[in-house]
Amino acid sequence: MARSTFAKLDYLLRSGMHIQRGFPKPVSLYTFLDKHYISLQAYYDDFFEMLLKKEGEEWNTYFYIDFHENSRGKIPSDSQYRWYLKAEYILVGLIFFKIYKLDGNIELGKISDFINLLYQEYDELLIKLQRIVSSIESDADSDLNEERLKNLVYRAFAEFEQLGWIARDINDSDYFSYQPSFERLRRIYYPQIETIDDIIRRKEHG
Amino acid sequence: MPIPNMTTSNAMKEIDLYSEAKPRYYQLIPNKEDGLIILALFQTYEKQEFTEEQIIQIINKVLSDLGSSGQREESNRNNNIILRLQEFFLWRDRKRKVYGFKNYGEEFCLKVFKRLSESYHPAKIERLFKHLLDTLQTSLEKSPPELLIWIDDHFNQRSNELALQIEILDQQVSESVDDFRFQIKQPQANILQVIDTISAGLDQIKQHAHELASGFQITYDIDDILQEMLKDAANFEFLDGINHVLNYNQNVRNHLDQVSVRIDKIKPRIREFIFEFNQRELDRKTDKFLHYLLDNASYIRQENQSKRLVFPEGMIPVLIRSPESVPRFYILTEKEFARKAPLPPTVRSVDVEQTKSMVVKNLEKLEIKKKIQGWVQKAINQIQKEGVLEFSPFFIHMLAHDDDLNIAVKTAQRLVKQCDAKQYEITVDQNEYHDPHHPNLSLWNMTILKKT
Repeated sequence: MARSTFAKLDYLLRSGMHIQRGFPKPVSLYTFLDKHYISLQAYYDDFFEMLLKKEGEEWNTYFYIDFHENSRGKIPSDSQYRWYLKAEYILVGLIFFKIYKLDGNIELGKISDFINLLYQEYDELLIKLQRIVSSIESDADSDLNEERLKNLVYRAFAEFEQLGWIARDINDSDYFSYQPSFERLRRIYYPQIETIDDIIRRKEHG
Repeated sequence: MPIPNMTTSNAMKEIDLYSEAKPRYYQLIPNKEDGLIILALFQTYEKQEFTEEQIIQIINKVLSDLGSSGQREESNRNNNIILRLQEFFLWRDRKRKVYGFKNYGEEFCLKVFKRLSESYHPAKIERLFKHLLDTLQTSLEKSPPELLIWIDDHFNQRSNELALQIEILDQQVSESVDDFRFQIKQPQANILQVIDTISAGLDQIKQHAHELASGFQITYDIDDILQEMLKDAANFEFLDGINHVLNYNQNVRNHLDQVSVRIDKIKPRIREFIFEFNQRELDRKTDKFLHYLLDNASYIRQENQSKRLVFPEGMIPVLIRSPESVPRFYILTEKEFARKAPLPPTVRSVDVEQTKSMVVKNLEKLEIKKKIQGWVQKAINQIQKEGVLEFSPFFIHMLAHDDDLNIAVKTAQRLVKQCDAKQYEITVDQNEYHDPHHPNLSLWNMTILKKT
């Protein structure tokens, strides 16, 4: 059990994957982590100075390696920024999080439906996102903003799948299921979210 | 706007419905509590009489179920309710101290009953299908073409009603989800209770779907009969009709499955909210934070880089991998490990004939080369000795001697190359030189002089 599971688990964790009960499969990855959490945490800390973390409660529990620990406060140099989640993706992620979680659109299960919902019910967010999209520089993209926005959302979701925040249907990649670790995106910004009123006030006063 | 029929519209003219109803609205149309009490009473006693004690029992039961009991003056409250209901819904026999339903009350309850039993009724579904199956069998006993009449008279008549049943369930699921979305946004919402209520509602719908599914079992019997008919070539003329029914049944069963699947998907998602019931404030701030990022994100361009979107100061970037952490694999294919098979030795052989002819050719070439060298030497010697060589007669001389234009031409080329400009001077006179023995040949007059 340990031998067959650990290699895959180790690879996934180091690649940035978040692991929860529902994804990635098989579920043995999760149960193994859950069972040996303490010793695995010590292993990563002792040998690699990496922090294995556990967050969420009960069936919302998820595990991941927190790469922030060793680089706190460092501003990434250009050559490094491919290791960071693109700012555009963070915005798409937070918009999705708001629509799905904060507004309780729990039946949302298709990326195309998410985009449609954005157009139909979220004028303000859409306009703000379009401002970002219209300046994306990429020769591969279409000139049409609508097409660019769509491409951006799909690319963002592909990255979210790499992180284990969503699971996509193998047969139709338009279908996805939300995973508890999506909350991590918000958790990273807890300090800023908690003080957002102050941040905005400071910004307004110079 | 639809035109009301004459009797209604005449009756409406006699009273001003709006003004008449306004002061007595709550007596005519009960509020939720009163209405449910009326329905509970009717369900228990229907047309029988009942006592005040029995009404109070029902009132207490309904109000505690609704979670609104616990008023201080309970008897006062009960009296008020009973008095309100007596206006239109209940009559009271003062002498015998019993109550019963007035006509208005009975109609009210029957109307609700009728509406609900029509909107959802698994027993009715089963009956409908049974009827369809029976009529199909009777029709086919008469003759196969009766099938088309059966489709027209029975199947098409009923099928819409069946589909409607499923749509109602689906609609109920949507209502539950909408309700959930609405509830969790309420500032004072007790998420745990919301989740409990919605989950229970969904369970109820699923139960209904399950009951419907067993009613729909009969569609398989209908399918069996029709598929049996397809085996007989004589029935091919009914193919369209049979397919119509088979497809319809298949769709209706799929649709019903989807209702259950939909509920199964929703329930765990609702549960995820349980741990977040005191995060309202965090959610509000998250929303604000999102807008702040959207408003303040800007593009920067650094040297030799494409434009990059960055967040305002103080927002840490999200590190999702680190170069040290990601394992790198060098992929070696099996081929690279395998020992290479030895190459077969090349078998060499000597082609004697070819070698012989090659030798002959080479000797010929060598002979020609020698001749050219000989002529060149001869010419040089003459120039050295006499100081001048008239090349054109010399050329003809070579040609006469060897009878090989090739040798003469090559000698000329070699000679010109050899007589460099320091020691020799070559003059060309463009008058043609002819030789009577070679009528096809004409040369320019070329003279080579030795410089002194």
